[in-house]
Amino acid sequence: MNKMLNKVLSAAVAATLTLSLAACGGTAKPAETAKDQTAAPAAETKKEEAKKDEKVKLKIFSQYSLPEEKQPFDYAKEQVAKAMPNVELELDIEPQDDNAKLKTLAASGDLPDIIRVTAGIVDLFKKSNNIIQLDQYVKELKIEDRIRPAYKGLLWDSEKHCYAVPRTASPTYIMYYNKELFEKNNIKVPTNYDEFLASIKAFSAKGIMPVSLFAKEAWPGVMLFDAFATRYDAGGLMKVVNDKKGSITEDAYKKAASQLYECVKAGMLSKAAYSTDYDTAFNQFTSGKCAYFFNGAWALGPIGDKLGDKVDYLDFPLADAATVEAAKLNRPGGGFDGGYSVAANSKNKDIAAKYACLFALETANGRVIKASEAYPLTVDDVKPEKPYPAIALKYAEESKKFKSTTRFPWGLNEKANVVLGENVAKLLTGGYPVDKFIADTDKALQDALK
Amino acid sequence: MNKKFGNIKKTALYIVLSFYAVCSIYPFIWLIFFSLKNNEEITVSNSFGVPEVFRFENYVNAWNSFNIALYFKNSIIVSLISVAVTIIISLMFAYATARMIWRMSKVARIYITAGMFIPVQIILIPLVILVKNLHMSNSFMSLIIPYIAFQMSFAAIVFHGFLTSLPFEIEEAAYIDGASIFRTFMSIIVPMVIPAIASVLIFTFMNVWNEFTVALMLINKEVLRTLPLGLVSFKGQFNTDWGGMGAAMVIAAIPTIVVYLMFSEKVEKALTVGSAVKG
Amino acid sequence: MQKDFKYKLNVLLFTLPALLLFTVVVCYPVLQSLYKSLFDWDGLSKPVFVGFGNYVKLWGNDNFHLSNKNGFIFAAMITVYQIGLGLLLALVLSSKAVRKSRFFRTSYFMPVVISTIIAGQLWLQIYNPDYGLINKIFEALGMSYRQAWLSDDKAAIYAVSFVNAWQYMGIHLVLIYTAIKSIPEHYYEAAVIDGASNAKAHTKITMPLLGETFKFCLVISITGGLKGFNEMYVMTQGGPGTYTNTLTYMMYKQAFMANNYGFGCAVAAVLVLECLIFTVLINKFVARDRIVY
Repeated sequence: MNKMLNKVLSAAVAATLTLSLAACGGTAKPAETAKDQTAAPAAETKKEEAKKDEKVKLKIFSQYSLPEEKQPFDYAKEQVAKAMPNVELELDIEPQDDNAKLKTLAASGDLPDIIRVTAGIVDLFKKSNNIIQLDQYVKELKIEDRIRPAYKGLLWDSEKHCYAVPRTASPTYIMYYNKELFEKNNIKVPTNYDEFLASIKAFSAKGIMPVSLFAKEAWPGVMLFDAFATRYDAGGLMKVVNDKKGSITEDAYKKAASQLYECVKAGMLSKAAYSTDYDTAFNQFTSGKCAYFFNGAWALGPIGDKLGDKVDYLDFPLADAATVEAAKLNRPGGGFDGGYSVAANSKNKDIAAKYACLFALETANGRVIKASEAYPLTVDDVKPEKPYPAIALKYAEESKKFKSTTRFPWGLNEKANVVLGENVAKLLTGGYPVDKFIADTDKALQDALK
Repeated sequence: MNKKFGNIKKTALYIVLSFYAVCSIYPFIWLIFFSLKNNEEITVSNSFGVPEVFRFENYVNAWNSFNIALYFKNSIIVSLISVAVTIIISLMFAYATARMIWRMSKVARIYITAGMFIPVQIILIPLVILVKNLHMSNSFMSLIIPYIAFQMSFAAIVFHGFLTSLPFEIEEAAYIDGASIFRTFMSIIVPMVIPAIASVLIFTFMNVWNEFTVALMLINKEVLRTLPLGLVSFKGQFNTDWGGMGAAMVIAAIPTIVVYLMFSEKVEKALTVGSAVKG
Repeated sequence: MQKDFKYKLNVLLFTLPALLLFTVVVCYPVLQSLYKSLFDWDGLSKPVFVGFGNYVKLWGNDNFHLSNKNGFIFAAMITVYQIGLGLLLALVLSSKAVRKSRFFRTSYFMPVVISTIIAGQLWLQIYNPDYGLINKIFEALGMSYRQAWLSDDKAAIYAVSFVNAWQYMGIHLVLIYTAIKSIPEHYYEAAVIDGASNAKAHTKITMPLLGETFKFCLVISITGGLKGFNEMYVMTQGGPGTYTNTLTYMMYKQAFMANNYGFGCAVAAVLVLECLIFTVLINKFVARDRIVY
């Protein structure tokens, strides 16, 4: 009788397994179907033209959380609706989850028609054929003509193809400082590394936090390192990680690491840096509790609004007196900072692609109009609803002269970015010697970039 | 003399108990304060104290930033079905492993227990593909089925523990009377494990009610979103609206407290009756 | 014979729904993940078979050993705190002499109700070295001792696990309390008549009868620790650096952030293996049989 039971049981389990295996046999392999579909765009175009008057539903995956994200999105939606009234947009809000959901959607072949992407995602999805090439649409809609000359490069990858249309120009990393705090405490605004170090020590001695870094996240640490590194090598981390030229063992990076380490030892960061999030650091700076704040250009507006003429930014005086002047216009940050791509599994590729192209540019305009971004992407005549604060106007003018920029960590190779994030964070604890940092990072990067 | 010493000891005991009670209740008060502050107060100037100004607009913002009523309704549907089915299935399973004699009993139990150890992150991608292939994507079933499967392990081991501690004689009498297994199960066993059912219900409900990761991955349609997904509306690429998030969390916590208070009373009553009867 | 078959059929009817659902929804995806651990794969492009290559790499990876150790620290911390304190409080609160027992139990359970995001935020503030509560207490007591709880490579994992220990103690309290209250009262009456002290009655009667309860409390706390994720996700993101990574967090980072899906699955495989070993061990050594007096 026992045997009988066993048989029944095993039959049941076997049945379950076959059922599920059979079900999984039907898994659409996104890579293959993607290729098939790109092969026949002509046929689809015809079909689409035939039903031109019908409503088309497009799914979009994009950030839509706080007012500063909602308003530009809604603006862009309104604008594009004028040109493409037949499109109905269905939004899936992008969570802040390190792209885990986006990657899962891609893995299960469920990508929405239009997705918001970072440079890292473009590289990944391009390789796996999850997104389509947008060259023909960009040409057809004359997208390039609408982009300012300085930013035209953001459209194209290294092989001169377009996989994502930018929805913002390149913000760079900025070294904000609280002028008032320097005056009140009679501390010299630094012009080179030694003075910077001296100012850190001076603030620290007075019980004022020198730098507020939101190191709960990994990227601010990496950017801080890049800020030091770009003083000695304009390519910064991007050169090693994305262009795969040279290695982190070069003198520029060693020097950057040891200076950063020296600053940490001198009390640059609060002990609380690792549990400090963006909002905390931001409010510490705007409430006058810390002297320097390293953040992107997107914060120019909010910081300027809060601090007015008490705030300014520096040209990264983090190099030795001899090199500081030459490196002044080599900026960390910048590059492709997000845009829209079209999924290869979209059923309305043509429409989705056109929509994505227009939507990206209109979002960029929306970010200027609604969120006071000080670096317009397009040549369109757009003005912010709320006038720029002085610091943003200064940046808008000076950013034209920047000699070189790098990338924010979300634009770096994703494997390398994880390694850098972990190791730089350890370096910033002050308990991880520079030599070990360089050696470990070099080894891990070589492994990641293989 | 002895009595006096006893009183001191007792007072000390109550002081310790009360202190720990404060440590446990404080987070809740803190959360309510939190939900009435703005970012600057929360992060820098006043993280522990009473809000300088009671910012009830956080609740208005929370209410306006996503469709709370809809999400709330969805959460209730998903939670109720998941919890009910989890309890039925795992109680039946635990009954078979705890009180029936069969060869693979222990293996089956360990197999299900192992589910406790599986972090959901490990299986996210295969799970999403599975749900798609079972044609459940974008329906409540796509959440309910995985929730039951994940919660079952916990429920089954708790039930197993309670069932093994019941004396065997209870059912024997019923068997001799010729009652079927189902009848014995329904009329004798189920009433005896009411406290366990209530406890499992509380825990399962809380887990399902607060579940975020799986819901995030599996739900792509607005009409199906559950309450925890509303939190996405407060976290932007860089900053977070902490006050609004706190307000949403306060609203979301109310049902769990209600369920706890309702069912812990059930546990209480069943226990007093149970131990009196058994005694 | 007829009856025997019917009995087996009943077993099947009682267990099949659970087994079937578990196999399809949990076990099968786990097996798939284990299979994927044999590939060098970013999760999307064409996988390359590497055999046990990922495991070899794993063994040589410092972060893996650290994450593994952290998982054990996490599990040990919460097991000791939650079961220890839970048992103690359950014993005290189940005593008839203690009044307001229900109030205390309800309040001890409250942290369980709030979400990890909020608990994490609260403890971030409490641990904050600049204005946090703990260092303020030291200050008030006139002590100069200060600790950057979450920035210290050694202390951070303990600080993070304490949050879980504190938050979920209530679950164990309720489970143990319920079990104690289920013990028929005449067991104690007999002991008291025999002149046994309160403590002795507990060691002789309560403890042995709680065997099964301890078993599932152990499973709950050890699993909670080994697969620890949420506290890290909310409070430290595994940092500083990798100092508070657990295997689950490492897996998540590798699979979803670094696009090393195959490698991440190898991490997951080790975790699953450890978990299986623990499940078997607990079942073997804790309360092997029902204790009969």
